Formats: sequence, C-alpha cells, structure tokens
Amino acid sequence: MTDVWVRLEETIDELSRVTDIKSAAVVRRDGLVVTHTLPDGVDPKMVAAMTAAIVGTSEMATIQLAQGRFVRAIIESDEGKLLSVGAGEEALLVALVYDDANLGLVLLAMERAAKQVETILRDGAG
Amino acid sequence: MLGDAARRLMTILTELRRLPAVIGATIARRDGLLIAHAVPKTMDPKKIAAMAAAIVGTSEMAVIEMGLGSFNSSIVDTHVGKMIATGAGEEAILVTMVRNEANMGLLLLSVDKAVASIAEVLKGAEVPA
Amino acid sequence: MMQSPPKAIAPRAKTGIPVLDERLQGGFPRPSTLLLFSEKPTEKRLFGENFAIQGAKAGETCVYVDFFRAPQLARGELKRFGAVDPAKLVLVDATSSQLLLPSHEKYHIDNIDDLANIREAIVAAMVAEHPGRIVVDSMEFLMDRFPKEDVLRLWRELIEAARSAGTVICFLFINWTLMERELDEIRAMSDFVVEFQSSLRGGIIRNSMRISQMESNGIRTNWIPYTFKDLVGLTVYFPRILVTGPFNAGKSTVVKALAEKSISIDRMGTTVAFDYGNVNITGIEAEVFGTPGQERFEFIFKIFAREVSGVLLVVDASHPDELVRARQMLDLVGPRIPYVILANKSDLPGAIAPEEIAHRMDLPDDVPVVPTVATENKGVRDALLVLAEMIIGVR
Repeated sequence: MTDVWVRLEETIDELSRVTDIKSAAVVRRDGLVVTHTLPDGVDPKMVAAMTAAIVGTSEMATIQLAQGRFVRAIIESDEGKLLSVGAGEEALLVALVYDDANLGLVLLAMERAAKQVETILRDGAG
Repeated sequence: MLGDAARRLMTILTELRRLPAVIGATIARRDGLLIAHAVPKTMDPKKIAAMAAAIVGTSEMAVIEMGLGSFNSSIVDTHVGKMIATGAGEEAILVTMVRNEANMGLLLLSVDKAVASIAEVLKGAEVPA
Repeated sequence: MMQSPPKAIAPRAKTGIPVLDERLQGGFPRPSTLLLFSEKPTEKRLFGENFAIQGAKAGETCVYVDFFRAPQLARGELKRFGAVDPAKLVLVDATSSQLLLPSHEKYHIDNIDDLANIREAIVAAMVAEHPGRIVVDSMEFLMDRFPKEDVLRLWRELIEAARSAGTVICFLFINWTLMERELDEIRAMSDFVVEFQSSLRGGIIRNSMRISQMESNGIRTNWIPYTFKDLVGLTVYFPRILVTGPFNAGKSTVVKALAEKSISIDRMGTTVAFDYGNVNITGIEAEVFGTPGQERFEFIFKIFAREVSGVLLVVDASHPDELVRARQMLDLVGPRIPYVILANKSDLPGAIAPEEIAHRMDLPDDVPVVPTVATENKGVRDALLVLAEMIIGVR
C-alpha cells in the first residue's frame, strides 16, 4: 500500500517540476488529501476540500447543462491559476500555475499525470 | 423601480445571448438564489444559480488560501463548451454558457462589460435601509 | 513465585486513549493477557509501542522484547511517541546474538535457536524489573522457527509468569500458518484481543482496530479508525464528521465552536459550499465538515457525504417546525451512520426540551439529543464525545 503512495508522490513531484507549475496535489474526490507539493503556509486539507467542492459541483453543473463531459475546472486570479482535472473514479489532480503560464503545455502535462494517477490507483486497488 | 431593474438585467442577458456561440446566461445572487436568466428551456437556471454560487464562493476562498491575489473567474471546460462564472458586483454572479467555437477574446470583453452593467443595475436597485 | 505489583503504579494499564480507557474503566486490568493480532502486516506494532510508552509515561517500567530490531534502533523509533525516562523502558535484546555481536542490554537472548534460553531471558526481566507492562514483538518470529506446539507451550508459560508477576503482557502476532482452531486456542488464552485491519481507498490508507474482551458479555468495540500523531502517539481519528441540519440551525457556529481554526464558505448569512475544521479533543482527532442547510445546495452531499464516520444533526430547538426538514437531511447522508441530535439555541425562549424533540422526530430510543448553545460553546464538545463513543461502540 505504501507503494501506491510512493508512486503517486513521484508523479506529483515530476509534475511540479514542469516550468510553469508552482505546485500540485492529488486529492480524493470526496475532499481528502492524498499527496501534494503545496508550500508551507497553505493548508493541504483545505485545498483538498475546496477543489473537491469545485470539481464535484462543476461536474454536476456539466450534467445539469447537458454539456457533455466535464474536462477541467480553471480558477483564474490576479496572480495565478488553479487547474483541476479528474484522475480516475476516485481522485482529482490539482495544479497551481503562474499567471503567464503556457496553458497548452501545462494541460498536456496534467493530462499525462492524471492518467498515471488513475493507473496507479487502479493497480493499487487490486 | 425593481421592475425597471429586472428589465435592464434581461436586456443585458439577451444581448449577451445574441453573441455567436453563447448558449445562455444567468445572474445569480451570491447566496445561490436566481436573479435573472436567459437560458434554453432544457436548463434549470435555479440549479445553475446555486451551483455557480458554490463554485465562485469556494474559488474565492481557495484563491485566498493559496495566496493567488484576487479571484477573476471560474471556467468549467466540457467537451462541448464552457461555463464561465464571474462576480458581478458584491451581491451577484454572472454565469455564461458558451460553445467551444466561441471567440474567447471577444466573449470575455462582452462578459466584462455585462458584469459592470449588472453591478450598476443592482446597486441602483438597492432599497435604502 | 507470587510477586505483587509495585505499589506506585495504577491498578489499570491505560492505553492513553481517553475514550477507550474510560470504557475499560481506567485501562486493562492487572494482570491480563493481550493479543494484538492481524492476518496481514499492519500497524499493530504501533499499538504495542504506544502501549509500552504510555506505561512508561505513567511511571511504569515496561519490558519490550523485540525480535526484529536492534535495541538502539528500537529506542530511536520509540522516541516519536514522546520523551520518557529511559530507565522505564527495558529492552530484551534478541538481535545482537543473531548478528554475532555482544549485547549492551541487561537482558539478552544469547541463543535465538533455543526456546528455553528465550524464555529465561524474558522471565528474568519480568522478575527483576517488576514491569507494569510487557510487550512481545512478535510471536510469528518464533512460529517461523520452532514447532508450533513448542511455541504455544512457551506462550502459556509466559502468560503464567506474567500473571504471577501481576503484570499486563501483550503479544503481537501475524498469522501466517495456523489453522482457525489453533487461533481460537490462542484467543482463548488471552483476556483481550485487539485486531487490526488496513484498507486503501482512492490512495488513502485507513487503519482501524477493534478490541474484544474474551469473557462472555465482555467489552466489544466497533472498528475504530486511528492515526499516529508525533510525540503524542495513537489517536482515534474520524476522517469525516458531518455537521448538518436545516438552514439557520447553527451548523457553521457548531463547526467554529469545535475547531480551533475553521473556514466557512458563506455569503449573505448562509453557507454556500461547506464549513471545515480540524478538531482535537481528548485523544480524538476529527475532520469536521458542515453542510449548507438550504435545499438548493443539497448537491454538496453527493460530494462530501462519503466515508462519513458520524453525523451531528443540528436543529434549532426554538423552531420545532423545522424538525421534519432535519429528518430529511439525515436521509441525505445514508443509513446506518451513527448520529447525535444537537438541540441548539436551547437558551432561547420557546426552545423545546430534548425529550420533546426526540418525540416529535420519532427517533429510536437510543438516539442522544444534546441541548447546546453553540454561540457560547455549550454542550457542543459533549455532543461530539457522545458521537465518538457511539462510533467506537462503547456507548
């Protein structure tokens, strides 16, 4: 079981090394922290709960509006963006990026990482 | 006076909806109640209002917790379009649903204008204590 | 040889977890035999270590028999439970001889292939140190090397010696090879069995334990989720306590009253997403989530009403017309989840009594209704403790 956690940690570390990404987290869809590279001074439990609320609500809104499939949620602010994507049935992938980030590259990296997270969790659940 | 505000808000929304690729627009109070809407019959504007309020409220808190300055907007990307929610004054939120083909640059300009107008209408409509 | 326990130590051996110790009437009685058991490698060593350190913290001498770790390593790892008087922690060295090194401990097993030698070393420590507690980490080490009848005999001898010494002896054991019948035999030799299990869901590991007293009509707890806190030790841990109820009942206030630090996502006087706070009281840690009360936000339950340990259902005692709505909200959480009713604003004129609330909500007899004044932090902690006892299964 710790193997799952180590592999998730590696994925998040790698993602955080992408140039425009400040920090990242894997969060369970019901709002619990799995692993993260958030800086000190940011409460990972709060971030987990908030991103779960944002994504969960966004997914339900997507269904409500019959707008197909939820892809991602982007929170834009003065000094950066918060990006969230699904990472399988149980988890979400969250990244904090710089305001002037190359979103195209970031989203690609997140997509890859999200698939990895999904696989790791599926393997671990065996 | 309130009827006037309602009419003005509808004007803002229908104008927004006239833009190419805009599917619908909703004005919600920040506590999730519906103020006005111009959405197709297949959508429930009350639900949109509540969900947008939850998303914006949470996003504003998240942005503070993560030290990201001040909140601008939340965008939900789906595989057919986007839902953009942004504050419209202290009391309200504007939610715009667009198709993916939308010209985002032009759209966001229109949204900014709409938000400013909405804020003005609502301020003017306030009943003094 | 009959030895009476040293006069200074408490009559019962505390676990260090107040909710449990209360249910155990202070702790495990002396003498008693504990079995810490699981089918797979889990965190049971943590309980054994915690048990030893809690004893040391209470001024009892503890003998720790470690077949796996060198004494220096064991002592180092035990530091994370907090500082104790080193004289209170007596290690029986079972590894130096395996590594062909001289031992620096007072008690050491020189021949790891000789059960008699093993017994001698442990009993010598027992007799000379008058320990309040003994931990044997771990019996499967012996089961792997010796015929099981011989190990079982040693097991009984150690239990007998511990009983004579009036001490609490705690055996760790993972079962690799024994049949159910043999396991039953070991359980029957024990006064208390503590079982452990771990589960992994969505990348998060949950550890839980349950305590059963072997005598009929003895204590039996539910599966208790726990975690480890640096320098404190084992703590009961509830990953989610939901605080819910009708609009304006006082849910956000309850969360604020419970947690030192909390957040509330609210606008115009109503919660639009959730409240959250981390609560720590008397050996219990809980993540407390408040839901909105308004119907338009019920979708939030779909996100947060998962893996709910228990519910604090907050009602405004001065608005009994909302009790129906309160009952409805309970349904949003799901069946078979323990809950406590908080009769909040019980200080207001027109507030109806807890018994009346129970009656009007048509509640089963065993549902506690606690009067609270959340704005003054009255009754709120009590309600959480009552809920904790229900979840653990000691109420």
